[in-house]
Amino acid sequence: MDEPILSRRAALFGGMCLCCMPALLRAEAAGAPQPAKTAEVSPGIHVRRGAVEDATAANYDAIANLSFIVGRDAVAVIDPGGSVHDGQSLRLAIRAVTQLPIRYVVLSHVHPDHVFGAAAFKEDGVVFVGHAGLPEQLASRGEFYKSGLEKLLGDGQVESVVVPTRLVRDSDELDLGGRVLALTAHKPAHTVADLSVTDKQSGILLTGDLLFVDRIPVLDGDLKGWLAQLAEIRASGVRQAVPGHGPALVPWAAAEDAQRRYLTALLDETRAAIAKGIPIEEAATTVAQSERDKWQLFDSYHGRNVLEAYRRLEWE
Amino acid sequence: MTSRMTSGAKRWIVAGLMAVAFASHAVAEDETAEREARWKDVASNIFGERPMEDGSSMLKLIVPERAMDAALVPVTVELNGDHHIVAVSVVVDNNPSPLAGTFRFGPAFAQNTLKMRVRVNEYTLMHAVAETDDGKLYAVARYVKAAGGCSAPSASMSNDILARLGKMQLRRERSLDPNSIPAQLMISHPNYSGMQQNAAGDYTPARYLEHVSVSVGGTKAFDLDTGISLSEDPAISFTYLAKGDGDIDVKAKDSSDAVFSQHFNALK
Repeated sequence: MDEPILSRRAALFGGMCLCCMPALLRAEAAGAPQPAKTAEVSPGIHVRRGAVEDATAANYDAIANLSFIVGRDAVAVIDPGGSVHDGQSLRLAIRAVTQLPIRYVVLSHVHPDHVFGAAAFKEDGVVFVGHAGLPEQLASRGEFYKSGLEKLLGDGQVESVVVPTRLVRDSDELDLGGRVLALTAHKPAHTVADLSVTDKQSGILLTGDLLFVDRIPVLDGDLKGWLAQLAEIRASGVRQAVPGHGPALVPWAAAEDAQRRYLTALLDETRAAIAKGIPIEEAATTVAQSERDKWQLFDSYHGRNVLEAYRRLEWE
Repeated sequence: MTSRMTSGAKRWIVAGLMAVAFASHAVAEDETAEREARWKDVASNIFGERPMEDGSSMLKLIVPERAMDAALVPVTVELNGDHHIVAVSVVVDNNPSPLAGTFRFGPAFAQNTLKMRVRVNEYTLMHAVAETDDGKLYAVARYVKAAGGCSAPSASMSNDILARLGKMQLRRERSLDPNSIPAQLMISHPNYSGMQQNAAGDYTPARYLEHVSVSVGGTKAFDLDTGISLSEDPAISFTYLAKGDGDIDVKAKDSSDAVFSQHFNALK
């Protein structure tokens, strides 16, 4: 009891007690969301680049590229982020650009780094949009992902997934007022329910995770189907894309070439391993190693891609 | 702790895998004691109070230290030495149903290497336990970092799985000894654990392979009793001796009493 309280506070808080800190500083200390840093890659198209990291408590699962597009009357979000915190940061970034209503939130696919920010937009009364197959994906995986994310971010830090109500079976359009977004529901590729968005004004394609740039692609759908979807997108004449991970805007052709090269090596070499009787655990460390120095986080995800490809191809 | 959290978290994002980032654990001795207590408990449930000796002279258990996919963790058990092993069990200590499988060998089993793919629900010790012909038990253990494997949603779409339910493949290799043939048996089955949610958000009832028997020319290679710790589409590698006409018969039964059987002609 000899210890003066003030000096203990000083030791803990660098001379400031929490009650004296300005509200903003206090909020920052508690990790309150700040406006996400975004780039306007084309007039009215803003992209928040995801961190090239795995999801952690420190990065709030802000690892995917998130976008918003501003029309004359309204705003559409394409992927609201990996956590409520991430979604709130994006929302603040939108409000720093425009006060127009946020009308649509598009969920490109089921993965947690793209969908768990949706809860941050519920108060805006937005329409959540997704692939017709997405609700089933969210039903079977949502709780599993939520419990995993809670283990990272802490109990109570993750809200339940938001299930889209406007569903796209083949194609659809969203009108933001003088600006129309074309939606395409893809056949199984990166996942079994991928949705992409084309801004008709600029021709820019927002791919969701149909396209990874620099960061190792993750296979969770259909490897052959993914290659087929890439060919279809190429045939549509797209020139620039906002990938699900990587730089905010890339030329389509070069990015697709790199991803196609990886996926083709994964397909061909996994098939060859199965034909030669190479066991799955050995294939995981030998297939497509020529790609190793070409991708970020290769060691974290590539082996799993091989397992995923192998266990499907052995039944083809 | 940060680096552990980062690497532990690295792959949970994709379906079927959940690596858990633990807060810094209690001291290591506590962990060791906890693991040993768990194993004692699990072992007594499976093997009763039979004594168990160190099996490192006859068994080698090979598993990845950190699994790439908790729902598909490749396991290899190498059987060597001069002991005659009559049975091998693989146990995932911390799984809800720890016994992944018990193989009981017959004369057509070549005492060599066994492989299987298992689910791992949380960081755990895994054990391989051999029973020798004098009735003694021998165990070896490895620690595996993986989590969520039992509740990971089925990796296939249910219509795909049901279309090929019970179909089998037998992949065989030619070896130097034409009578000793390495093989991989694959049985198409979702092996639902009862902990997986379906497209309606409900839990899919458990439905899993309970029993598999393999014979060669009418002579038993092995009987396997198994359960929900085997991965979807179970795949089992073993080496058999070409007894009799060398034809293989496989019979399998699942927990819904569905019976699957397939005949494979001898390797020509």
